[in-house]
Amino acid sequence: MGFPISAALLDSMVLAIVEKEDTYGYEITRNLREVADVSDSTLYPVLRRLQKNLLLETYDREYMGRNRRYYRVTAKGITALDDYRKQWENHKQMIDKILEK
Amino acid sequence: MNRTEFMSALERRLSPLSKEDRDDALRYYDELFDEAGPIEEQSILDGLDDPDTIARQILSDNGVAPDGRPEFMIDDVITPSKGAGTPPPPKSTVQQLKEDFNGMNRNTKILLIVALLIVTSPVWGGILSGILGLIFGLIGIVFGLVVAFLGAAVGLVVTGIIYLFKIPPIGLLIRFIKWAIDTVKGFAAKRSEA
Repeated sequence: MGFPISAALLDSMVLAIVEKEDTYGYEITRNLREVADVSDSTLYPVLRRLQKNLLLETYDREYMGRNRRYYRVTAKGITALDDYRKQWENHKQMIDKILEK
Repeated sequence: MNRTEFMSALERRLSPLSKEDRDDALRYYDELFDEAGPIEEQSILDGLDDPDTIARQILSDNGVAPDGRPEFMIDDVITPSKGAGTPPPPKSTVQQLKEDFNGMNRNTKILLIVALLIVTSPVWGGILSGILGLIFGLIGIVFGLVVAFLGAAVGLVVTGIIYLFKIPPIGLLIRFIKWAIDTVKGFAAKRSEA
């Protein structure tokens, strides 16, 4: 991965992963790992920020005798994600204009 | 460093945070180890930054400088801590009591008033009894007077009637007086005609 991932991009990717299906911290990192070099300790501040900005909310569900903390996208989160998607599309086209032969 | 060491190191460094923020962070890392399982513990630790770096990031995200002094805010998520700024001037006891009282619900207020009345009853009880005594005393006097007058009137009338029969001359005397008056009246009338 030659390009660093910005905070906004990380936010939008996490929102998109959780939007597909409510999921938990460990699983979110595993998803991100497929496309970027993101560590578990990078993810926590992202999750916490999204949560404090009310884009994500959590709930606990029992799993193997302990509680697993699941994340779910709020209505505000969905709006933010739509916005991120538009911005990303725009960004991509601008970069492509220069990169394309 | 193993899981336990990592967790306690992180907890120590996050001590300037509120309990809620600290517990949330510790919970995330605890769950991470649980998800990976004991066999993967070391590879998780290898993938993580050291507790110092992690704590520094979390503290600064929460607007706390790593030395524990709140220094800056991020985004709009941090609410100013209570007690910040100049404290309001101290309230007088009466004002405080007034506010406490207004803050209560209706039933509590009624209970409080009843309790207060009972507690202070030795003070106002005597005064109230005095006033009540005075009022009843006055009513007694008025009632007594009315009864006495009525009694006297009835007694006099009855006595009068009895004496009317007991001493006939009085009856005759009355008739005589009436006759005398009529005579005088008649005499006077004749004179005025003349």
